[in-house]
Amino acid sequence: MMGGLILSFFTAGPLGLFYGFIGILIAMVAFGWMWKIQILGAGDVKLLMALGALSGAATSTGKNGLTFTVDLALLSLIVGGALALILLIIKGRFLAFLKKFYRFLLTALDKNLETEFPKADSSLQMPFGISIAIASIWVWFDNPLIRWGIRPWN
Amino acid sequence: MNLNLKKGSGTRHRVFALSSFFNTRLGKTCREFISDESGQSVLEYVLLLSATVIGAGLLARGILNSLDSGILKLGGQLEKDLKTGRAPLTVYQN
Repeated sequence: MMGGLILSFFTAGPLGLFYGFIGILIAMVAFGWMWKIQILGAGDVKLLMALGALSGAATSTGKNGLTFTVDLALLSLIVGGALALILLIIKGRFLAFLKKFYRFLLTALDKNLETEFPKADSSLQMPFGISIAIASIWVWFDNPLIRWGIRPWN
Repeated sequence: MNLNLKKGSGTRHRVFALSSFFNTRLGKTCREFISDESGQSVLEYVLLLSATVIGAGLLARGILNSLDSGILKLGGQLEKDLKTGRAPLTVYQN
């Protein structure tokens, strides 16, 4: 994180340092709550915070320093979702997942039924850092969210 | 103006403030966050979050697009009405 802030300062000056701090803050807000409710590990949040510190350096390459971390967080979730989908299919648990989710929707929409919250199988885990790493390289060199049109602030 | 602290008092105060912060609920959360180095996430939650992000992004984009086209349509209609005289030229006033 310190390295990212120093790099941001040397590449983009005080404004870069400011963007670096904003990036850290955005990363903490975007992923911090997921750590609190135990969806992600604190290591993932810290990795995203460290990459968020590079927001200032990102401005020196023509990117928007304010949206860099948000894009990174969104893309890492999308990449993570794709990896999770592949892993669930490989492990033969995708249909069970769909069934669980369908039961939740059905019970949530019908007032006469007691809502059945889907209980996640905690034995099925993956290292989320991989998706953050893939997303960071992708966002740095060619932001796909712009092409896909799912970025509301284009 | 030169102010001299009593011998050792400043350090003691700072140490006390720091240790009392780490005894609060927020402090405990911070300590837990700093010491936790794990990076494992539950597959099903990640998949749900991902689907939510894509859905929300597409929804936001759709809403913004329909707002854009609505404003353009309104502007075009107003321009047409001003040219044909259906709307008075003073329509912008008040």
